[in-house]
Amino acid sequence: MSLPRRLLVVGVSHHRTPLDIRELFSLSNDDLHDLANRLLRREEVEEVVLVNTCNRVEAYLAIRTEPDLDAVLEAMAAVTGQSVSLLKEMHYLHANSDMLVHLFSVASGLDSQMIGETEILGQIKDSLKKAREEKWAGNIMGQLFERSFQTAKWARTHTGIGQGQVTIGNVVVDLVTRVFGDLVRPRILLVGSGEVAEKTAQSLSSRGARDITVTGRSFERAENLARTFQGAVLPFETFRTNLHLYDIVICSTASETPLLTCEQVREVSKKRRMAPLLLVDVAVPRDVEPSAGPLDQVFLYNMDDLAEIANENLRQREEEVGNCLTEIKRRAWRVWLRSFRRRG
Amino acid sequence: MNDPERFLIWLSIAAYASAVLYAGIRLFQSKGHSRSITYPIILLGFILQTAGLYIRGMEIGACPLGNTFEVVQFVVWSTILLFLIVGPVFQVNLLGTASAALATVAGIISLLVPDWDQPHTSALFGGDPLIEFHAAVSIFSYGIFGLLATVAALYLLQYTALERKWRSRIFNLLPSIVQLDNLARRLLPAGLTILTLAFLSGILVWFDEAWSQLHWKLLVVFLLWIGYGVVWVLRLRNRLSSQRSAMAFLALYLFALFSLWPLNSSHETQAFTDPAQTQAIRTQPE
Repeated sequence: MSLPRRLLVVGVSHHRTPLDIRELFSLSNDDLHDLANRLLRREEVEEVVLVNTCNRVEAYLAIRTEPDLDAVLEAMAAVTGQSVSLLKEMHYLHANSDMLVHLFSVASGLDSQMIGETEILGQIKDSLKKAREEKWAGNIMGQLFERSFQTAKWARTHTGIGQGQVTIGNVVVDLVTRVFGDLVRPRILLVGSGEVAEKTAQSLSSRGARDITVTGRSFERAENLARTFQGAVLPFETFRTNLHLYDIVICSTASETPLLTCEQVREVSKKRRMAPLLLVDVAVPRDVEPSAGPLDQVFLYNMDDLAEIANENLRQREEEVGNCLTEIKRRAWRVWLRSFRRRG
Repeated sequence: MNDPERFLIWLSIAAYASAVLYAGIRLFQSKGHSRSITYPIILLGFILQTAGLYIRGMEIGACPLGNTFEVVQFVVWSTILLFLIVGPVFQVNLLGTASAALATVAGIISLLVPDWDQPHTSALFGGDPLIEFHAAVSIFSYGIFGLLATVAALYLLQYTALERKWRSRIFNLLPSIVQLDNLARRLLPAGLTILTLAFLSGILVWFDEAWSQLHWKLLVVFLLWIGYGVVWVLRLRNRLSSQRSAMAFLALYLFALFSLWPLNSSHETQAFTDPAQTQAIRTQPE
C-alpha cells in the first residue's frame, strides 16, 4: 500500500526541457502571483512555494488530500500560455520523500545545470521568503525548506561537490581565454545589471579583465555595478550602435524578446572587420537570436552551452556527487518520516 | 652504420617524436603546458638533425638539397629552426608540439622511402652559388610556410571547437585564435619576403636559359608567390577572414609540398642525363 501523497513538486527544468522550450515556461512576477493564487484556490492545496530560475520552474505543494494533477498542470499551462500537452510531455513530478530528495538536491546544487554551483541556494531561499511574505507558505514548507538549507550546507562542507567551483563566470573566462588569449585587452560589455551580470563581472575582473562597460534598462543599477569594477556605463538606448566596439558581449536581461537579432549581429560583425566577437547569452528567454551563432567570427554561447562545458569539467566530481546523493536520500527519508508522523 | 648522417637524422626524429608523445600524454591527462620539457627535447632533435645535414653537406660538397629526402629534411629543419626562434617570443601553446609532429611525420616518411634518397652529384648546382642560394632560400621559405601551416591547423582546430561547441578541457590548452591569427599575420609577410628572394634569384639564374627546360621550378615558385601574395593582400584589405586564410595556408602548403616531387624528379633526371657532369660521391643508402 502506498502512502497518501502529501508533498508534491511539479515542474520543468533543464534535465528534460531544452532551452528554446524552457524559455516559454519562464514566469514574470505577475505570473508567479497568478499561479500561486490558482493553486491555492484548490481545496486540497495547503501551501505553495514557487521556484522560478532560468533553469527551472517548479511548484512545491503541501497538500491535504490526493491532488488533481491535471488541474495543477492546467494551472501552470494557463499562466504561461502554453498547451497542457506540451507541459505534460516536459514536466516531472515527485511526491513525498522523493519530493524532499529533489528539494535537497536542488538546494545543494546537485540538480543544477552546473553541478555544485551555489547560486541556486540563494534562489531557493528567495523563493521561500517570497512565499512566506505572500502567505502562500507556512510552517510545513518553511520547515522542509529550512532542512534543505541545512542539507545544502552539509553537502558543501562535507563533500567535494563545491571544490573547484564551476560558475558561469569561470566558464566564460575559459571561453574568453580560448578566443582572445587573455582578459586584459578585450573590451567587455555587460548587457543587464542583475545578479548573473554581477557574478560574471566578478569572475572576469578577478582574472584580469580591465575594460568592462555595463548597460541596462536601469541606468542607476548599471552605474552601481560599473562602479564596483571601475568600469564605464553605456546608456541602454545606444548600446546597439556601439556594439562593434566590444569584443565580448554578455547578455543577461529579463527581456521577453531578443535584444539582438541575427541581422544586427551581422552588421556588428561587418563593422568589426572580421575580428572575433564572443556573445554570451545567459538570459532566459534568450537575448540574442540563435540564428546569429553560425555567422563568421561570431561565437554565440547560451546557458545550455555554458552548462555543458562546465559539466564536462565536472565529470571528475561524479564520485562525490554519488556520495552526496546517498546522504541526501537518507536525510530526506528521515525528514519525511518525521513530517508524516507529525501530520498523521 | 654506413650512413652516420641518416643515423643522426633517425635520432633527431626520435627526439621530435618523444616531444610529441610527452606533450600528447600531458594533453590526454588534461595537464598544463610542458614547454620547459618539450622545448629542450625539440632543441636536441634540431641539433642532431643539423649534424646529420651538415655531414651530408660535407659529403656532397654543397647544400644538401639534391634529392627528395634532403629537401624534406631541409624543410623540416627550417620549420623547427623557426619554431625555436619564434616559439619563446610568442609563447604559443603547443606550437612546438605541432611543429615536432609535422617534423616526425615528414621525417619518418622521408627516411622510409629509399627512392627519395638516391645518390646525386655535387654538380647539381653547377658550382653556381646563386643557384645554391636560390635553392636554400626557396626551401627556407617552405620552412616558414610549414610553420604557418602548423599555426593554421591549430587555428582551425580551435576555431571549429569554439564554433561547434566541442566540449573537452583539451581545447583550453590550445592557443587562442587571436594569438594564432597574430602569429600567422607575422609569418605570412616573412615567408612571402623570403619567397620573393627565391623567385628573384631564380629569375637571375635562369633568365638566359631555355624556358622549356626549367619552367617548372619558376612556375611553381611563381604560383606559390601569387597564392600567398593574394592571401596577404586580401587580409590587409580585410577581405578574407582568419579561418578562410588558415584554410588557404594549409592548401598552399600542401601544394608546395607536392610540388617538391616533380621539381626534384626533374632535376634528378637533369643531373643524370649528362654523364660527363655526373660525379656520384656517395653510395646508395641501405
